Amino acid sequence: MELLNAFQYIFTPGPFLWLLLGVASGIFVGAIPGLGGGMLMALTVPLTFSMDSTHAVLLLMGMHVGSVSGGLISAMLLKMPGTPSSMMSTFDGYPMAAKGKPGLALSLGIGASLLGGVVAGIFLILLAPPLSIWALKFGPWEYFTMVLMALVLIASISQGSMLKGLTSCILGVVAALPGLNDSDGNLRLTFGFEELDDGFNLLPVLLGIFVMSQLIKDALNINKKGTAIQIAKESVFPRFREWKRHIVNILRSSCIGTWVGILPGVGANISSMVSYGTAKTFSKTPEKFGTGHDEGIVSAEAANNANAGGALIPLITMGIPGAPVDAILLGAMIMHRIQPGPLLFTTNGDLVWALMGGYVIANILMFGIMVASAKHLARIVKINRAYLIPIIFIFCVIGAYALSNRIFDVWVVIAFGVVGFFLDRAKYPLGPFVIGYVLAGIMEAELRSGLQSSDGSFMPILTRPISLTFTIIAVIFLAYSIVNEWRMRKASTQSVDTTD
Amino acid sequence: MDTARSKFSQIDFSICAALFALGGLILWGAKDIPPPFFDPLGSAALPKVCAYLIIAFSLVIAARAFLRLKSETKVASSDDDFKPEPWLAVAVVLLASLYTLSMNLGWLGFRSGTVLFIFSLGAVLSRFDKTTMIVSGGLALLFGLGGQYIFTEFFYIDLPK
Repeated sequence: MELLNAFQYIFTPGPFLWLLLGVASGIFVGAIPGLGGGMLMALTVPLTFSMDSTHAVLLLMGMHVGSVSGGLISAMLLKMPGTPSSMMSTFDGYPMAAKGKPGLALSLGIGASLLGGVVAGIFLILLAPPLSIWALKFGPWEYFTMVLMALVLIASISQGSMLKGLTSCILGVVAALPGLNDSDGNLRLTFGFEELDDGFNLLPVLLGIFVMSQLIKDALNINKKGTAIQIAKESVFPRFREWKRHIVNILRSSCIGTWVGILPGVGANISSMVSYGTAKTFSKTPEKFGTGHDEGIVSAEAANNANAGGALIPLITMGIPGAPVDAILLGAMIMHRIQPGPLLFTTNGDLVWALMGGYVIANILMFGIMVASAKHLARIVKINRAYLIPIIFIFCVIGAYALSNRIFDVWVVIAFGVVGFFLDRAKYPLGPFVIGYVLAGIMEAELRSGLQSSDGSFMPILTRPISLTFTIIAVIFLAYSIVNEWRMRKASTQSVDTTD
Repeated sequence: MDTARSKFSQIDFSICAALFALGGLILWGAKDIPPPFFDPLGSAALPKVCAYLIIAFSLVIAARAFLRLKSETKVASSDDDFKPEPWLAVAVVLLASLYTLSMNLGWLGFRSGTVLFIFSLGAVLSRFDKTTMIVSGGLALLFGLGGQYIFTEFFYIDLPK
């Protein structure tokens, strides 16, 4: 019933237009290599301060859905993924387009994105309400161990070295430490700077890490240009006969995408990698993967769109961002005085249902816009960076400054941009940094609250079943990652020895 | 051919040195935090744990970088077919800092600062290409003058004057 009301609400002019604007701008920005949904959302948050909360959330979520899908256009036609989650689409999408079938490649990608999104939407609607009821049983120890599990998970699953993932995560926690501590009112790590008394605000940190670092990177790689494959008169509307044989692949990839999305802190790029690998394992023609194979396109695109829906589940039910980009959505909700978590269904039930219904509608809108505009977007994705970089920075300045009319926040954007740029250059993943920053406060507050209630004993971690389960999962993931990394290092050393 | 491995190890060493210094800075800052009062943990515990972990991890990463350097083999530097422009990246940070500083010290307001910033950064990024500079000039005026008006009048943001 609530869902029907939500659909009814979304189809009124105001919410519908914000959602449409979000999806369209998300697709446009997602299609431009070097920009991305995170950047667009972080830049838009300050402009939503005077908006209705539900409209703001629908706008941002539309941007998220649109950008994940928009990335496939440049991935398939330029071999430059518009967003990291579209990386896997370059493996088969570009070769297929280069073989003279760009329309087919796009139609497979767009169709898979729609179905992946819709499947994840169904999971979201079915799972979020019972999970939020379950999460009501959580006390401080459950929250502490869950956040700890999320941090371990994102650090260990992130691409590249696990140690660098963990370091990035701890750096994010460190960024959240300065300022007044809510638990006891102590000032810490301000080093005498009054501006640090309130700590680093969320938005400037996000703008720095997501936007400024990317602008510096874009300037560095300004000569990087792809050769666009033109689409002549081919239709990008998916044809049923092409689709029949992909149903199992789509369902499997959508489930993988949703499940990886539910895991706290893990982004869409991991979903599409896992899904692509699984599709290859189950394929009758695995040797064709990477050469323009339709199964590869379908698995990657279904999974990355499904991830966006899956990631909303921990955000809505527990207040834990399912992916780094969801940290922005979380920040925007908090700025609009909405606290995601188990009580959200009670305190802001209409908003949650609108968010879930909006997610499904956003995917349908995405499909319509992509089918209608993919050909034209392919031509305009190569915008001159010399125009874009200064303008985007101006939006960063406005966004950071608007928060509390302090130039200090603009300095924070620049500083975190430089930090993010160097970390990225040294292959430290930035996702764990953002999640660490967002979750540090919750983790510390819950731990201290738990210790107060247990007279300083850590035993409840082991004696409370849910806490114990989260701890075991965290330990298993950590151990698995260590063993896996050790194996990979050994294999790479052996291969170097053999080559020598 | 280039020793990409060595270059990457150097980046690792630099980051590790910075991390080590950061760990030290956190420990130095944490010593001034009052002892626990309401709970057994106190406000200094998390910073200290983070600092020790950062120092430990940076040492391990540095050791790995050193081992990688020792077993160095010649590898292709990159399969990218473009030339990176480090000075343009520096220019972005430098001009952005100058722009912010000028508003911070009250030398320029948002309007004039933005016009100058967009035009100058556009010119530098296009390596002073005339066509791009003309377009950048137009954009600079549009965002400088129009931006001030829109964000002040419609979004009620009190931008620096």
